[in-house]
Amino acid sequence: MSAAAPAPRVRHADRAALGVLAGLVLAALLAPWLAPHGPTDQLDIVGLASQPPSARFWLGTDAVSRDVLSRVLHGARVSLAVGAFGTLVALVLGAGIGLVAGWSGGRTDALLMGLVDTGLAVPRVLLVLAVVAVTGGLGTGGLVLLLGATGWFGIARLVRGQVRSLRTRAFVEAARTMGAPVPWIVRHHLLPHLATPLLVAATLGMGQMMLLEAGVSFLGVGVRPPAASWGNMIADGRATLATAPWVSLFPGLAIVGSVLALTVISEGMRRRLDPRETA
Amino acid sequence: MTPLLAVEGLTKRHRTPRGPVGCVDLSFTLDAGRTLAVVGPSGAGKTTLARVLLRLERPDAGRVMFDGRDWLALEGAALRAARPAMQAVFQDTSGALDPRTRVADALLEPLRIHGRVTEGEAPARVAAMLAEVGLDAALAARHPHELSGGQRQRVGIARALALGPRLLICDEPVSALDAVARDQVLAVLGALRRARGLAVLLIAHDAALVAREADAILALGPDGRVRPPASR
Amino acid sequence: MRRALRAAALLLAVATLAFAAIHAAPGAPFQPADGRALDPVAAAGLRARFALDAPLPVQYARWLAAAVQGDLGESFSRQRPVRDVLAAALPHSLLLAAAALLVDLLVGIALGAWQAAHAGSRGDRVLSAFTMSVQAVPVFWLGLVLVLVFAQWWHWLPVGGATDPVTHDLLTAAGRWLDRLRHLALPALTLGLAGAAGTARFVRGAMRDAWHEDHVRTARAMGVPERTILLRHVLRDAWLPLATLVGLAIPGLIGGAVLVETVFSWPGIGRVATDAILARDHPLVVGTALVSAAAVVLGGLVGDLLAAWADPRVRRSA
Repeated sequence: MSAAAPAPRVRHADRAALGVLAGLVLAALLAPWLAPHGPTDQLDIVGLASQPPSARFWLGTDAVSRDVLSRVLHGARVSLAVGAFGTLVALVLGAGIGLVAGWSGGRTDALLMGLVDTGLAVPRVLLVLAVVAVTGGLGTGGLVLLLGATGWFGIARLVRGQVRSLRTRAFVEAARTMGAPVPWIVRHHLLPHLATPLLVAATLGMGQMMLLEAGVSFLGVGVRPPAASWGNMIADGRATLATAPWVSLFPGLAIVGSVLALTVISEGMRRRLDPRETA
Repeated sequence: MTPLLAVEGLTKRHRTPRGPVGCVDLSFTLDAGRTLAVVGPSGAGKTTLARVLLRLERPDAGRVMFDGRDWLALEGAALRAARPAMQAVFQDTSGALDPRTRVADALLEPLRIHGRVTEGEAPARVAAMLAEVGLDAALAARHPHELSGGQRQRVGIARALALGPRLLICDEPVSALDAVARDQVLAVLGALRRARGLAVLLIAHDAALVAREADAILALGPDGRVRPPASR
Repeated sequence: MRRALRAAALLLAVATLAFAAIHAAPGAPFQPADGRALDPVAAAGLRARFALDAPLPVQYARWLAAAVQGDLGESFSRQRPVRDVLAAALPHSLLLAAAALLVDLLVGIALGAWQAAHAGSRGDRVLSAFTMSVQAVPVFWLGLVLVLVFAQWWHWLPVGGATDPVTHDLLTAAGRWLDRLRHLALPALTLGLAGAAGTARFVRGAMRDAWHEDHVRTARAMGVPERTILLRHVLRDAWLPLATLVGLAIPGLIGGAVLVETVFSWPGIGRVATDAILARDHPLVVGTALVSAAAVVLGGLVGDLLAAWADPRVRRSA
């Protein structure tokens, strides 16, 4: 029917999103060469503080005369890396726990899914804050682990559902009658079927992960200054919001762009998987 | 001579919205090289019987002696090591093969699980297995959905025979196939059964098919119990 | 009934976990901020005063017994009973949450319903892109942008706080109401809009599904006007998943509130929680954790009750 009309638009959006994401990743990788200044260089704390965007400072400078563009570029490394590795941790945990729950069934399943329901019901920001309160501050590595450890619930539920239905498929039962051990079945018959839905979920999850990182960094318990992450840059700029709004605005735009790109890519993949959904 | 398979008092009931289904107090024996047909209406527990024997479900009660062992007592690695002696051919020809696995890998899977094939000899093994069920070696590179139902079922038979079982459990092996494919599959199955001296537990609802293939018939009633043999 | 028991069990679990986690933490309370060691005698005195010298299980048992009676101990950092701190903050949080939920549902349902009725149109596509974009915006950054525009540039609304610290007490009753509303507007808008994007996407989907239900098709085939169909049939079908959505929105609302309360210096539970964590104020942390958990549990319950009310079939299984 009308499915033909919107289709090219969708592909444009997908391509644009891929382009944005590729650009951000490149910017993050090449930050030390692209950035005109170091991320923590205070250029001239008297003469060059809070400069508005100009030909010399494309995105302006902050209250202590650091170049915002350089900080956004270096912040991309931290924010994207935390998002990507945090997602990886969540993926491994979620897939592992979902597999165990879905395959075992019974009491193990009920217990693990109870845990998942509880985890999904508690706001993640609070979970992260609580752990930070317990550990008394984390390095970036610890933050990645923590974000992953609070981000696997949804993935576990997804995997568990898929495994429950795959488990009763005849080819999995056939493998059992052949005497295949469980790891064999997981590797040859479950993971290949889980790969695509997991990729879709992970792409969307990475966006959520980046939003969360920004949030906890904004509260001062995530990535610690002077290291630049987009979240703590926004917090930095808060004090001078009235006089130098660009310090907070640009890192925020960077977050919106990345998360939006990831969302669009995820949606595009999902739509390709599920051809029923056209409108 | 002790029978290859001896089932005693086997009971397994499932609750369904339309009332309980499954088999009740089932006892029978099957000698090596013989074919036993299990017939009965749906809900009589034919498939349940097959699944219990294949150790896909636990029975509520009963004993199974197979190949001289207490079959239901085997667990873990011992069970996996013993499974090659009893293999299965499934009704759903497309469901029984992983849609993402090529024919060659599907055929090699049982051998690889038990470490019975090296990658060097794999192509030759696949070709031999395909030839045994009358299929072209070129099918090895195909995915299951690129095959006809009859071809898929013959791949399923070749895979089930790869581990050299003594008993083959065939759950409605041809009921999903058209007449031509059915005759081909049955011919292949019959020839291999005779050549290898296989015992077969043939589950079917088609009495004509059963009369041609089976040495003995076990008829289940709708209540899941054995019906006394009708005079023939 | 079973749900209530589960809720109580969840609360107890959260309380126990929070208590255990906080006491397992490195670092001690009463640590002077400048890093000097605290005089040991003074430290012992403080510990005795706050009953921290007893063994942990004893502390836990005492704490639990007191907590059941509503006594959550005394906040280290504020030197006031935790109950009083929470009681002072809770109304602010409830006010913000209620206002935000109102914005969330009003805007979300209106957008979603309009989109469902005009599915596939240019406006629908633009709105879809818009709601997806809003979901990509960090809620605290949205708050800052709104502050920048409405408070810093246009001076329409205050920057933060729940009331004007100087003039509030001098105002007339009506003036105080207005003052409160003006302070509430931006945080509620921030939190509400962030949620509304998700609500709109959800409502659009639910209504599109309802559109294809048999009785809706039948009604249309019989010539019932589109407007009547939309209001009488489609919205009612979409109401059931929406009831669930309200329950699901609660955790997001609470999580978002932590950030939004910080942006707007809003004196609610979220702000208290953040401050307590940064100050290592153990009793207060546990107290805020309990209140948040209770809110989450209650939110889920409210969602279930709404769903049961909307659909009698659910009532039995609930």
